[in-house]
Amino acid sequence: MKTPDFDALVGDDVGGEERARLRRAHDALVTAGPPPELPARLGQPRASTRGRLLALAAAIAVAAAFAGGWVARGGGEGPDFTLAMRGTPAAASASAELDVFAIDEAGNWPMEMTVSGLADGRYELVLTRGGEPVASCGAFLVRGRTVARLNAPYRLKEYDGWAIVRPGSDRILLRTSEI
Amino acid sequence: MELALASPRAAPPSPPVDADGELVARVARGDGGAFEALYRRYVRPVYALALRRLGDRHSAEDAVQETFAAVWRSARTFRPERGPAAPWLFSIARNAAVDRLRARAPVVAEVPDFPDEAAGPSAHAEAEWLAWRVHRALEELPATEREVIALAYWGGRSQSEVAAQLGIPLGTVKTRTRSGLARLADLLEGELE
Repeated sequence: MKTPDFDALVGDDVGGEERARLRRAHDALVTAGPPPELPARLGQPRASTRGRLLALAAAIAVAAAFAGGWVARGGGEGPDFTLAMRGTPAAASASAELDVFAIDEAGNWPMEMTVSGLADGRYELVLTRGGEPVASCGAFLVRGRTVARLNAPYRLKEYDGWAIVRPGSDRILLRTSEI
Repeated sequence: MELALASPRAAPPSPPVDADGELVARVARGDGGAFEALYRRYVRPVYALALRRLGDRHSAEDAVQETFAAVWRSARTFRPERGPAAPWLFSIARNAAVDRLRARAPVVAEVPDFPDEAAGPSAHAEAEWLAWRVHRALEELPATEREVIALAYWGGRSQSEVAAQLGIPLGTVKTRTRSGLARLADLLEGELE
């Protein structure tokens, strides 16, 4: 790409500090290169980008409300609701399903999580708020495809999702996907 | 090339207001309009950064989505007292691209016989940061100024050719070019104050 001639662009009637300023802007433009053409699908923010956590929070709240009714009806053996979890780029091939069972009288939400695609080792399931890990639902060991029983002793509507991290780390490996 | 564009001026601009920081604060309160405004301002720099890092458009588009999802999730962690929003957004975008890069299958590299004389990581990061700021600043220019600058710098047109293509007098092209460069200089200086 041909670099435009600064002197031809600006002329010779600008001098001193102002010319130096324009020259720096010119050099910055040349170094930066052209901004790329924006693909059509990036023209507007996707609803999922903005609404992902809101939708999830709403879904949890609805599910929690549904759970209340379900308990009131006398309960059952199956999960109250199930959330899919997907690996973040830090664990792209991992996935999990989180079955959440009816809340007990003390306020516990029993859960059963089936996880696969994670390296063997110790992990932690956490509730997130604002997308950040804030409350532990317990640690578990992974060896291949693993089923772990966990518990959320919290008011779920105060959170916006679940995530899996390494104990002591905030780096999210899986999180509940948009629903 | 000198990255610091700041220079003493006889009439300094008014104290900088981090308009981006205000948008982030509103995003933290769940303001969807602020999120869309932030998106419009930054989508091109984010995409350019991701494309430069990842080298393919599809991955870069995914990194853009992940960047803005992270902005939405993490806006409340932004601390304006620690600095303006642009570097904060830059870090999020860079991390999204790096995460996506790490998720790719590892490549076995051959050890070269001679040291690479190309720019090292630090120079690379500086170039990315400069491109980010320039692309962000371009979004702030009036369309008429951005248009003549794009044609001159990346369209390979002379000013006469720009004038002919746009059907405007040569003097207008010169005025808009100079005005656009001056505005860019202001924007890039302001960010560093």
